[in-house]
Amino acid sequence: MVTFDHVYMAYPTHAEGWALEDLSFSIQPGEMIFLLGESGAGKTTVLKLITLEERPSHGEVHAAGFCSETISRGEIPHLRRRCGMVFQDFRLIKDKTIFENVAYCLRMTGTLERSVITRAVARVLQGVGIYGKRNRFPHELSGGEKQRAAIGRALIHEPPLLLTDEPTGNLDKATGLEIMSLLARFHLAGTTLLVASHNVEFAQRFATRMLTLRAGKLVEDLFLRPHGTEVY
Amino acid sequence: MKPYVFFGQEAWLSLRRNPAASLAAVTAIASVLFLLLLFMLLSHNILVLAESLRQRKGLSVFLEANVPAGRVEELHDHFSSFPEVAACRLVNRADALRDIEAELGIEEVVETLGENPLPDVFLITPAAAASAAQDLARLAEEIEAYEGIDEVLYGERWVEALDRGLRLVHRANALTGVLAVLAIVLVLGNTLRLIVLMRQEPLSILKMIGATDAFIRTPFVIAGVTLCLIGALAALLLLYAGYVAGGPLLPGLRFLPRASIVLFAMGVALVGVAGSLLTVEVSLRQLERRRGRPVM
Ligand SMILES: Nc1ncnc2c1ncn2[C@@H]1O[C@H](COP(=O)(O)OP(=O)(O)O)[C@@H](O)[C@H]1O
Ligand SMILES: [Mg+2]
Repeated sequence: MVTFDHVYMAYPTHAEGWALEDLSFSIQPGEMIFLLGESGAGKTTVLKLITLEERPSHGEVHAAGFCSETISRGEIPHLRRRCGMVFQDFRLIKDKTIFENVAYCLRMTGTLERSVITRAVARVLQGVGIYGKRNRFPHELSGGEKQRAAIGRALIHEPPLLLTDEPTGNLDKATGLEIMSLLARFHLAGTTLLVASHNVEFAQRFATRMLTLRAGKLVEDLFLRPHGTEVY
Repeated sequence: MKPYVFFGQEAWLSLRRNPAASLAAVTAIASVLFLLLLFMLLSHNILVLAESLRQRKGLSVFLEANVPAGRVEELHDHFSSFPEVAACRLVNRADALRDIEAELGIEEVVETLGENPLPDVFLITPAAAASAAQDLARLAEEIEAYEGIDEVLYGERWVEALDRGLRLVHRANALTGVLAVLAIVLVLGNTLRLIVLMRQEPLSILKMIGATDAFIRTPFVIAGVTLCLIGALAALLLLYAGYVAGGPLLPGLRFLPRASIVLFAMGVALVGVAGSLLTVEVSLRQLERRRGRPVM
């Protein structure tokens, strides 16, 4: 699904060498991978390279059938629709309701039929448990609710791969557990997940595999359990 | 819902979020387009005048001052006998003066000027077989050679006399046109850039979750074209109001023909589309380049 092939990444404005250094790994369908590492280890950078928010300095990133070296500008939106992204800071549009935030994603793929949109958005918001708050604006939601809305938006195109950046980072323990259980449900339903996190406890409980980064280098690749056998 | 309805709504929303900037843009575009329309109106009317003069078949033969009456009589009879001449009518200076006095409703022209300033004129109607442009030219040349003839004016020559004025107006017209294009592109550039930059955050979010460039660009382009067309409509209405109000002062003044108006509108729309595409593209690329804040 995703392959990193000797990827090096340096930010032009970042003087301290590589943000990622000689990174190689593959993600297989059905996995639920935790990408662990301290703050600044390069987790977010990995996610950005998958959606091509950033381009690798060296090496290739393959995702959803596209290659970072050969993908055209016009293909990038298609890549992003097939790799649902949940940002650490949610990135919901402030002046649109939760319903509109999700509906917008459908409209930009050409789905403009009102009844189709209403039905699809309702289904996805029910799936993440905030259908009742669909008409609220992002600032009227708690952190956990915003996280749910962001997950709902990322899932609207039914992507085979879901990328989440610190999904429990800003939440208290109980809410974090709720969100992780929600993500695990989507994993059971067939979505492949890559979760960037520094929470080892959650990783041991939910992950099928743990990748650990330290200062941009992959220092551990641990298979915890074969997928499909998780006990939640 | 159809795509153009959706994009139209988005465009309208982007203008409504910035009412002051939108209004300023429309005002600026309307002013420069009004100027352009004014020159178009002027040149159209000069063209109409030139055309009617060119179509005029007759020759006006102006005599020199102080030609004795006998000589005038002689010339009249002589010209009348030309085979190319169907009719030759003398408008003598006294009659012409009376006509003018009657028309203007004043009687002191001679008193004011000291004497009658008008020359005697023969109005010659050419024969049907000799009224082509080159026949008229030959006839005029022949007549002009006679003793006592000052000048012969006819279709093409009238037009030549107008030509210099016409050329000047055309040049002003072209200059205003270029100016209008530049001004519109500049105004659109500023306005759309402002509108795009104000939407910086939602736009970058949309891009990150898979919006195409076209999806992001289209509402702004529609907004830009809308600004242009509203400006054009305002300019046109203003010109028409001026025409209706000031028309009686300039009898014979004609409004722009429908074809010119359609061409004008199409030109404005085209410049609007091109200008909007250009500035939206530039603004979005600027946005992309600016992104680069450290994210931990
Ligand atoms: N936009 C950026 N510009 C410059 N440096 C950056 C940028 N984003 C991240 N970095 C740097 O790259 C390294 C990895 O960052 P990141 O991938 O965000 O780490 P993590 O998500 O694991 O906390 C850090 O040293 C960070 O300072
Ligand atoms: Mg991070």
